[in-house]
Amino acid sequence: MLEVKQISVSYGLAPALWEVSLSVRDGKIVAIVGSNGAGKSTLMKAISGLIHPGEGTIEFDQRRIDHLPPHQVARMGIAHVPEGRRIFPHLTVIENLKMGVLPIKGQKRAQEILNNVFNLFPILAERQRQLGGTLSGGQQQMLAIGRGLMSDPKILLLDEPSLGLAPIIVDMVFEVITRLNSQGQTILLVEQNAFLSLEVAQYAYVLEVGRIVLEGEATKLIDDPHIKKAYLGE
Amino acid sequence: MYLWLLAAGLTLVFGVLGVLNFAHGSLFMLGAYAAFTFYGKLNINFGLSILLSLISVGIIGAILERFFIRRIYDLDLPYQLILTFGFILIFDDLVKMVWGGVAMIPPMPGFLEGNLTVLGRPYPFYNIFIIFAGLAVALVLWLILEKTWWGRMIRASASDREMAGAIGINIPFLFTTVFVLSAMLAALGGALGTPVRVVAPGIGTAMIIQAFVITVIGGLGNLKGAFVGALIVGILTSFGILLFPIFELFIIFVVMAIVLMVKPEGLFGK
Repeated sequence: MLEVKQISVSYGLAPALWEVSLSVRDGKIVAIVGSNGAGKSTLMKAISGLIHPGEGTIEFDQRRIDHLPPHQVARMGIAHVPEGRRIFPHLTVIENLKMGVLPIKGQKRAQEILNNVFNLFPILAERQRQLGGTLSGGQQQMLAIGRGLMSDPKILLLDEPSLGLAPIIVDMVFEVITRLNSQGQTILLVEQNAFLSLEVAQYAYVLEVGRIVLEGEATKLIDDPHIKKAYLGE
Repeated sequence: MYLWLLAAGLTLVFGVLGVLNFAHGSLFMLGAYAAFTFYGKLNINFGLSILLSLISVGIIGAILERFFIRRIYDLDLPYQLILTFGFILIFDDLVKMVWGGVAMIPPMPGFLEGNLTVLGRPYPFYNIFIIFAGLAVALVLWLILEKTWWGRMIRASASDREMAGAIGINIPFLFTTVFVLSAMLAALGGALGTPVRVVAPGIGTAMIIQAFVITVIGGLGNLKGAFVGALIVGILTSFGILLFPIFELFIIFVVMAIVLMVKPEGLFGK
């Protein structure tokens, strides 16, 4: 479904990604593991069109998307839930969610999706009229994911969903990720928390200083000595 | 109230697009000239003339945003000032070429002539009409921003442009529409003012300074602030003219300085 081929991105003279390739197949959770500054968020931004790669191509459903503006990428079915959540603090919860609906979807479908989001995150239904900025960190993360889901995406890009959250909330978020996937949602997950993401993902890539250094089935990567040493603290 | 219409557009463009548009006063002037031409010269019905002026200036605004302003979103403020100041000069000279440099006054629409007696003093109907027009615009703007889909997109883009694009909002197009709305507000101010003010090159420049003071007092990018700021400046100017005619402009700058010292982000700024 998503094919990233040999992309390179640099900020000015500083290269951030080097000939990175990856593919995500329908219905899977694919994780990208790597430490801070490895280029994970850059990769996500390149996919969603917020930055354009200097070299290489990105294909989605057999169409090249690497030079489309972000709103067109979003309309093709890629929802980006960015690092740091980036909800709209001065809009209410319900307004934030409705922002996520694409103009191309009908009213009825939008209501269905909204019900599904409220089902996943009952707390958002309770706090509909509250301003996004007044929610707790965990609730804001749920709101950010909910907003992404509102576009009924073919693929959900989750960038560091566990960042800055209490362990119990992290568990909740990952439970939702698994549940979404069991409903058929394709997910590309970027995480510093290697252990958690390898547990939920079927396939994973390891990104180090802008290059993919390792890839494979998530269950195998968990036992890989390099991974254990570098990311699992063993 | 003219000042409110001008300040509203100025603050809207700054809040959403992040551009301080000094040529905003020129759009005000163009609105005045357009209304003067449609109404005063071609004798088209007053309401229709205003509508036509809004549309013409709206189109000019769309062209301005699409081909010029759009290129400077990511640049520093000084570059924005240079470009928009350049447009002031261009529009002033264009106006001189088309309409000449002489100030003109169009006739007053008949149904708005006359005075109303308030507290024993005559008060022109036209001023009352302008006050209500200003209030109506405030109400409509509030409804648009708070209650419509378009308003939600505007507020979302104002707070996080990149994110708004990432969830499917066509930012370049949205910005064009916001700029057009702002141009139309300026034009409405200019057009409504024609029957009681002179129409001359440079009227926009005089107005933009005051509108700028208003937005600074109210908080840049804040509509409520622009409304209150316009009231403050309007009242101060009137009393200033009455009590210390020489210091009329001086007073509003003093108020601006005080606001900047006490609350640098403006009365309603964040």
